[in-house]
Amino acid sequence: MSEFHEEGGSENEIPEEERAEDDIADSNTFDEDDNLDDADHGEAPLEEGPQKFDGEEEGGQEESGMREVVTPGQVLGARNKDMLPGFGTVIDPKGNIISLYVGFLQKHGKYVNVIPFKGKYMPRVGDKVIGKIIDKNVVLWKLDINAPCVAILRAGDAGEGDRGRHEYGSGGSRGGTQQVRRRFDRGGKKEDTSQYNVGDIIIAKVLKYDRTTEPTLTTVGPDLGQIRGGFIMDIAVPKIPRLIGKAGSMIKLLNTLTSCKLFVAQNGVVWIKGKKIDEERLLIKTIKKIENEAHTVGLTDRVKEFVQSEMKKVKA
Amino acid sequence: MPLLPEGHPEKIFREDGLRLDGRKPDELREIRLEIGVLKNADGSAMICHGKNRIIAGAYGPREVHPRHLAQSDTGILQVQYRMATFSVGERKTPVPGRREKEISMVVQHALEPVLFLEQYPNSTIDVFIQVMTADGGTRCASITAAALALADMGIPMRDLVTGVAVGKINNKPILDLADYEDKWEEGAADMPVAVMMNEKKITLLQLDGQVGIDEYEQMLNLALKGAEKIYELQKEALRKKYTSELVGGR
Repeated sequence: MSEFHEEGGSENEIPEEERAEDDIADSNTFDEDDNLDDADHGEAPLEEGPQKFDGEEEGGQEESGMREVVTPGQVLGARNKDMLPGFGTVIDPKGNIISLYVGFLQKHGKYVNVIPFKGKYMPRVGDKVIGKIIDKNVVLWKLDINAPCVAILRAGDAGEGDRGRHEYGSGGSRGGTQQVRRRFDRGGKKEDTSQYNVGDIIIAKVLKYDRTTEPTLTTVGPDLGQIRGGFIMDIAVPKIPRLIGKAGSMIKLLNTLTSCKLFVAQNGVVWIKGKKIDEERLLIKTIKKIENEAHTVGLTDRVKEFVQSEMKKVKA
Repeated sequence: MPLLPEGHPEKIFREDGLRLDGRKPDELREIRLEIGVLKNADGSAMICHGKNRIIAGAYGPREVHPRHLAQSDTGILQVQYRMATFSVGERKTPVPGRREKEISMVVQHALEPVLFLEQYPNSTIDVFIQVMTADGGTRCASITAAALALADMGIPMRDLVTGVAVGKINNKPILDLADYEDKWEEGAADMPVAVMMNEKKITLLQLDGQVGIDEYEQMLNLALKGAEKIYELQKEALRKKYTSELVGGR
C-alpha cells in the first residue's frame, strides 16, 4: 500500500449517510484488554505479558521522560518472582531475561517489556485491519494488509453489502448446515465476488490465522466493509497503541477536537475522513507528530494543545 | 591499469614490533557503524571497517519469490553478498562468482541462529550486502553490518552477531587482518569468526592455513577479545540512532 494517498472526492462534501458514526472511535478500543496468544503459538519464544503496553505511563513511574534504549540480546536482569519476562523479551539458557528488539524498556508491574521502535504487522485473530484488494477470482478476494502474506476474504465472509445485519461469522463456506441455512436467509442470492473490485480499500476483521496459512478475513460486523473517501495513511505498527491511547483516549480527543472521523487499524493503517480538507490535513500532521513522539511522556496534553492552537488557525 | 604490478611489502612487522599501519597485534582497525542509511529498506546499516565500506539492507518478513523456495514449516533467510565492480583494485566482474556465493551462504548460516525463523513459515527475510570498498575481512564486516540491519528492521533477535577475523603472520597471531596482511604467505593463516556475544556462541568459524592446537586457542581468544569490542560498538550505534530519535521527537 502506498505510503500516503488520497481517495477521490475528499474535498467534496460527504453524504451524511455515508459518514461513519461515533462508534468508529469506540471500536478501536476492542483490543485493549488481555491478549494472551492462543494455543497454536505453542512454544513460541515471543511471550506476551498479560498486560499489553498501551503507551501511557502508569502513574509517574518514570519522571525523567527519557527511557532506556535496549538492544537485542541485552540482559535485562535475572528472572525471579518479582521480575517476569513480558512482551519483547525471552529467557536465555542462563535464566536471564533478554531483550529481543531494539526498543525502550518498560516495567509494568512484575513484567519487563521491551517496546520495539519498528516492526512488521503480524496478524492476530480479532484484529481490525485496513487492506487493499489486489486480486480477485470467483470465490475470494486477496488483500494486501501490510503483513508478510496476502490475506484472503472469501465471498461468503463478505456479507451482502448490508453491513452489520448478519451475525459475526455467519458467512463462509465452512460446513454444510450453515450453507443451507444461509441460502434460505438470503433468498437464494448467489455468493460471488461482485461486491468489491480490485483496488477497493476494505476494513476487515481477522477471522482466523495460525501462521501456517494465510489470514482469513471477514467484513461481516459493525464498521466493516468498503471505505469511500477520506485519506489513508500508514504509521509504524508499534506506535499504534499510542495513537489509540488508553481506552481509546487519544482517538476520542482527536475526534472531539476536529470534526474528522478517525479509524485506526491494527495493521498500521489509519483512515481519516472529515468535512473540511484543512481539518483532515491537520489531523494527518497530528498523527505524524504522535508517531514521532510516541515514546515521550505527557503526549496527550501536548497533542491537545497542538490541535487546539492549530484549529484556531484553520478556522481563521 | 597501473604500469607496475601491485607491490607486496617486504616486511609485515615494523622494527618496533607494530604492524605496518601502526597497529598492535591485538588491535582492531577503526570501525564506524551507522544505522538506517537506506530509506527504502526495512532495516539497514553501514560499516566502515578500516578501508572497508559495506552497506547492508534487510527486508521482510515477506513472501518468497520464487515460490518453490518457501518452506511451510519455517521461514527462510536469504542473503546476497555482492561486491561492486569498483570495490577492488582490478575491476571485478559483476557476475556473482564462486566466492560471492560462498560468502552469501556463510553469512546466512552465521545469522540464522539469532532469528526466530520458525515464526514466519512461508516467508522470507532478505538481507542484501553490497561491498563498496574491500580491504580484507569483508565477510566479517558484512556479518556485523547485516546483524545491525536486521536489528534495525525490528525483527525479534536473540542477540546480535559480531564478525571478526584473526590470523597469524610469521607464526604470530594477529587480530583483524587488512588486505595486505591477508595476502602474506609466510607462516600465515586466516580465521574468520562470528560470535553471538551474549551467550558466547560461535556461528561462523572458517580456517584457511595451518595452525596448531595452542595457536588455534590463542587465535580464538584474540577473536573473542576483538568481537567484544565490536559488539560494544554495535550496541552503541543502535542506542545512538534511537536515542537521537527520542530526543529529536521532543
